[in-house]
Amino acid sequence: MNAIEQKIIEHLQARIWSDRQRDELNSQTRLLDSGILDSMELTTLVSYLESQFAFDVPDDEIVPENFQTPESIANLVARLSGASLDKS
Amino acid sequence: MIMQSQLLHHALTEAAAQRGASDAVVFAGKTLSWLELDFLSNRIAGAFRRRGIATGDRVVFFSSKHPLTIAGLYGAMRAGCICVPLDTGSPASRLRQIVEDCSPSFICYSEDLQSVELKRVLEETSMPAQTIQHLLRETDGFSMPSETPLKASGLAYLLYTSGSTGQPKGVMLSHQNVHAFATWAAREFDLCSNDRVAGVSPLHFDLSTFDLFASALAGATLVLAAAHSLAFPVRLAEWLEQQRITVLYTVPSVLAGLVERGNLAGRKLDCLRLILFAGEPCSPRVLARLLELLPHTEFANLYGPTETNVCTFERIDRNTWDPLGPFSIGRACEGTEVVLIDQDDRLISWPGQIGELVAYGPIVSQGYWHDEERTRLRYQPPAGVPLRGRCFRTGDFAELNISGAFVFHGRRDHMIKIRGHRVELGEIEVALCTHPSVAEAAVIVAEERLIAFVCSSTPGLAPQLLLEHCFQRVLRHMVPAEVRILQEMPHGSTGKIDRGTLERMARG
Repeated sequence: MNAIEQKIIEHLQARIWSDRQRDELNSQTRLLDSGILDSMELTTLVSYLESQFAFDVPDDEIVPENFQTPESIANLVARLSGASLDKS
Repeated sequence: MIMQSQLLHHALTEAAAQRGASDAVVFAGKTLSWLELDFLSNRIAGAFRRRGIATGDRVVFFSSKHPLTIAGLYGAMRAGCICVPLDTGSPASRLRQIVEDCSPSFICYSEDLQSVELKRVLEETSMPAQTIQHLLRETDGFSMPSETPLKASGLAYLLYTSGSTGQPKGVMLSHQNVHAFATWAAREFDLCSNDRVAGVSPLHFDLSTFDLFASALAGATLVLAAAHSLAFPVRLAEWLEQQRITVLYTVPSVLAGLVERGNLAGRKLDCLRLILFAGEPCSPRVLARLLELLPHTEFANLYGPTETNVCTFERIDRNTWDPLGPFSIGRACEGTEVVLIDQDDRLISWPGQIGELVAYGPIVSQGYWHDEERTRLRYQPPAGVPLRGRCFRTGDFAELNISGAFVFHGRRDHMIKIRGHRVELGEIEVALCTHPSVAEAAVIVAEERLIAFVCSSTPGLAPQLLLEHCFQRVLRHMVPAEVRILQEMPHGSTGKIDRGTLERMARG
């Protein structure tokens, strides 16, 4: 597991109420199907990503495919921070 | 469209007779016709009967929005049962509270929902629980015994909302209540069989009664949104376009998401003729953007607590709407009477004086399940109002403007709205106080965030611990954004918690 995944998992763990779900959370956990990410949590997560990794998540990237698992979120972050580095 | 029966499942039978093979429900590329939906609901009703579930029994639905769930709701009603749709994001303790309160005879759940919390509750009860798919295998659909005569005054739904004592309240809606609202809505907004109505509201939310029953009465097609679509505005906008949705009824926060993150400008939404919103005031900024982005869409704001469904409404007039103007909730719906009363229960008939909104008419629900005291309190007719029939004191305050519309002034108690959902601050406070280290708790709203102040003498008590405690007891949107621990709670002269001081502390 890489550092980005670890950060995302830590953020999510702090916001999960079910101890069972929290303990079982890993980089492959299905976040949408399990209800861990609902519309409110997604908003919180997006603002967390934007402040933590200092980029804006474009509207077109806020789609289910990018938020299926902590791994897919980490991939999104890697892609977006790569993109923002290129621009600077 | 004019029908004799006010039973909700008769609207389905009627649509099946009138429209037969045309689309009733669309979901994920699959379609059910009215005949199919009617047939499935019959089979489900038959399965309930075989299981000995009788008229007046409660059936809990812990289900995703799926055509089979819709068939299940109709099936339960046809068998004379009261539907209790639950928030599938509920923690186990809340599910337990509701199940204990309504003592259901049966729990229907969806196969696709992997709720750890539901599993936990099912493990501890002996209550029969099954998926709708399973119920369908139990009967053939042709063996439905003759219909039990039901009264329109019989209950169709129990909808649970936040309760200030920490116990969710079950609002009792009769067939007649929901039918009165759906008939009004279908007529007022000219719903017809060409309409494609978006089904985006969760089934435990009263907005969904429009989607289901106004559509059925008009023979319109209900198009169910995929489970996560509300969370992803870009996808929701895409779906509205692809599905050629003509009518959308939702909460302002969903509209705000569409405006802010939905890339609406890039969508062709010519079909979308009507957007209705309710649940909380829509920000003028969001509405102004929508009017700009959707020049051909008509907008209307609907107002009413769950106990009355919708009792007033206002069509937004593009030419005269003023973003800086007061927040108007319009006038009473046809068939409903809405008045203002002062603190001595006297009628207010002049513009400019603020009073509590009281609604009269067939939309007024039957009270709270097993809570006669609170029912008496809120449904008691004010002595100074010369109107007869059932009424509900909304707890919302308003004034009349000179043109006779109601201008909304909010509440005088501790109920707030988050994303259109009612939240009693008391419910969160009670949840916090169940923690052994908490002596006193108060929750306030500052800059649209919930902030909890907790008085505790336990040294080193971690706020995170209290947040987790909340996560296990209340719905997710009720969990405070922040918990602050105080050595002492500020009190006013009456001994009540001084919320003004807390609000200043939150700001400062």
